[in-house]
Amino acid sequence: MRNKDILDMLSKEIKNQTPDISDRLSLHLPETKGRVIEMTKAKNNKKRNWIIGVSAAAVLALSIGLSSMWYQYYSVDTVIGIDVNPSIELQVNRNDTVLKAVALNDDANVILDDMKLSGVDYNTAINALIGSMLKNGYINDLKNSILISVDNDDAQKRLDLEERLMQEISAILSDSSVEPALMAQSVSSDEQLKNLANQYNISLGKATLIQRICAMDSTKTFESLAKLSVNDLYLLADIQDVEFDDILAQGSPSDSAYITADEAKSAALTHAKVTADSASFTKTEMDFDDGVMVYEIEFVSGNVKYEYDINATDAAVTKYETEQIASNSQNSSNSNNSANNNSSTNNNTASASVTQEQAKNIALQHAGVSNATVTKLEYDRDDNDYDIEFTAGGYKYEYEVNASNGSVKNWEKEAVKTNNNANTNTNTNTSSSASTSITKEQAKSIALQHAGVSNANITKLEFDRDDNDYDIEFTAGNYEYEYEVNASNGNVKSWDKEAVKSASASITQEQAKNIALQHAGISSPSYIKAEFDSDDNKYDVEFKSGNTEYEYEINASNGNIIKWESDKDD
Amino acid sequence: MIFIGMTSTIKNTFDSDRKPQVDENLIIRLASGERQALAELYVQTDSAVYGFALSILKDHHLAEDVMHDAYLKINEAAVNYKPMGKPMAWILTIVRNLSLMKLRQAKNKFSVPLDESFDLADSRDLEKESTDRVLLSAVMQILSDEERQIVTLYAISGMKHREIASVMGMPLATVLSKYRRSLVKLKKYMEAERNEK
Repeated sequence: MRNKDILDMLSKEIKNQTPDISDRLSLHLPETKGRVIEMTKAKNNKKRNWIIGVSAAAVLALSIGLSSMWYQYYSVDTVIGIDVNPSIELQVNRNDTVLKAVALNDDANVILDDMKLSGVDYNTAINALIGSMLKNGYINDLKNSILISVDNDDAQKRLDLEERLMQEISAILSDSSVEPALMAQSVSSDEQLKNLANQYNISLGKATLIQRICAMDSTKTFESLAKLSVNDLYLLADIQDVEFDDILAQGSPSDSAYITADEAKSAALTHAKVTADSASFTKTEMDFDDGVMVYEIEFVSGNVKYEYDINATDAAVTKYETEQIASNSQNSSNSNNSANNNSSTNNNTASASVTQEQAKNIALQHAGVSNATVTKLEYDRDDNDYDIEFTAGGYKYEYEVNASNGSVKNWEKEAVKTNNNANTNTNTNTSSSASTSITKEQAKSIALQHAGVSNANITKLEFDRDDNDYDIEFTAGNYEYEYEVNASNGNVKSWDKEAVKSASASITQEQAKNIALQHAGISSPSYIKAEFDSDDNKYDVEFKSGNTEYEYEINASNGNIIKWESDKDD
Repeated sequence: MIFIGMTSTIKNTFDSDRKPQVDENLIIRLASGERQALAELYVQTDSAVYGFALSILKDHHLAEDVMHDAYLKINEAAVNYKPMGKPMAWILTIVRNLSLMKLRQAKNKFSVPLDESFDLADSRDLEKESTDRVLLSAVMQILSDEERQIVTLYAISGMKHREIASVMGMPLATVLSKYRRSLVKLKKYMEAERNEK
């Protein structure tokens, strides 16, 4: 019994039991239910005719195939790609006979090891391959996704084959405990895509899938997705609800390799030292960051907003951020920019109870000098200390001062060599101790060139001393670009491209809040938050009064209430 | 020959006739005062509305009441509807709110917990214990509240997991895992049931 059978039966029985209350509502049903059913039937008939037509065409194609088969035996007609983690390509001739099986990665070598697949029917080959992947643990409850890619010039044959392969693989696995998640897609030997596949060392099928996801979700880059397994890709597409209208899909990718959302939440709470009762969650979403599946979790406790990334494999905290919410709701979350003292990124202010100035004095006092030229005074977030460098009386000093208690962790004293080079070094005050050999202008050109744009509006161009790189942000066309360019060698360290949403909010966040409050008939909520959702050009307003939670969606252009919901906490 | 057999069976496998299509324009027409639009909307959504209410309330009569109230509310709230391509989610959010309200009232009224009282037999052809009916009572009895609502929504509403997550106010990952767990439970139950016979 398959999922679909269960769902169909359930749907049928509910339809069966649905009472007819149209009279009670004094509705005059224009199209009676009978007619609706008739319409569906008519549709089905049409479909059947179409299928017969297709089948006839297929038979015709097959017979043409048969007659010309004898001289076409050795020419590749179809390429079937199977991606689990082993990626294997079967080159099949018109006669459905495998001419060659190609291993595209190391795992595939294990599978193909001593298998002789050339000369056999492709069904037999698939059977052997899937069987072996199952036996070798490449397909299991944690990794149940299989991507089937078919490359054939004849569109109809391609589709038929995709469907048959899906059916067959599903049948092969029906004896095992694994419930597979299958995807079947058409691929074409596009040169550009082939190059991408080669560049990232993945199969053409996987490259095609990644390209599809990128096309749907502009926040993802090919490069970052290339690291994911087929199962993760499918899981991600599923979670993000990326719909592929031209991919056949069956079953759901396994997420059992990952912790549950609740586990991720509690990991975040534990780390934040916040109890579950006092936290109200505003976001829990699975996504991936730099090739790692994470839960993105946001919650509010007291007047602090927490944002966490929790590794979905081992529940480790990979990223976190806290932000003060002004208790006065009038001018709250708008002012959360970095310049603001209210917001603290990562844990620096949290544990640094010694100021830079104090740290400097501690170091100078320890060194017993009063008249020093400070060359470096920096907070080192990783070690939670201040790195201080200064010169005094012909010596160069280096200190590490603990940022929580002011103790000297480490120090060094060195005579300054009296050659010119050293002197110039010591004179260049706090600025670049790192070696920048390329200029801002150069870095900008590198980024623009990499992005392939000439006419860009630069919004940020800064030297980041910590990382010794230039942070460059610009917009061009309808995209926003972010680049990090290494300041010593001009390499592009990272980049990101994002479509700019042409959202047009004509009402303010404050107005949106008021609309929601007014609608709910509440004047002083115990907590309120509004967030602009540029995807849908709406405000998501959440607030609480008593123990009832309200969620509103307000259209950002006209202030209409799109949706609302209230939930009472018992 | 293989082609013919395969193609037709497979086509049926991948075509879902479960999913109702809701025409968003009906809500807009309703908002502009066209009462007839409600009737058309009713035809497109009745079993989704009823089924979801039933999955929350586990009681025929209460579900029918909510169904009634829901269409009145839809009629009234249509002016607030903004076309976002999610008419079903909008309708089912209304159903959910009304059902939860009903559930609270019912809990106050009766001392017997509703969970124990589910009885679908009603007066409708009691003797015919079809497999479909066995399944529905299994859904009512062996699944948790949330699991039941998610599976029912998925079976009848045509909504995707993401939309279900938003209607239920739950993280998507939770919806996905509950959905999968429920289907495993139901399959196991139905197979055991079949073997008994």
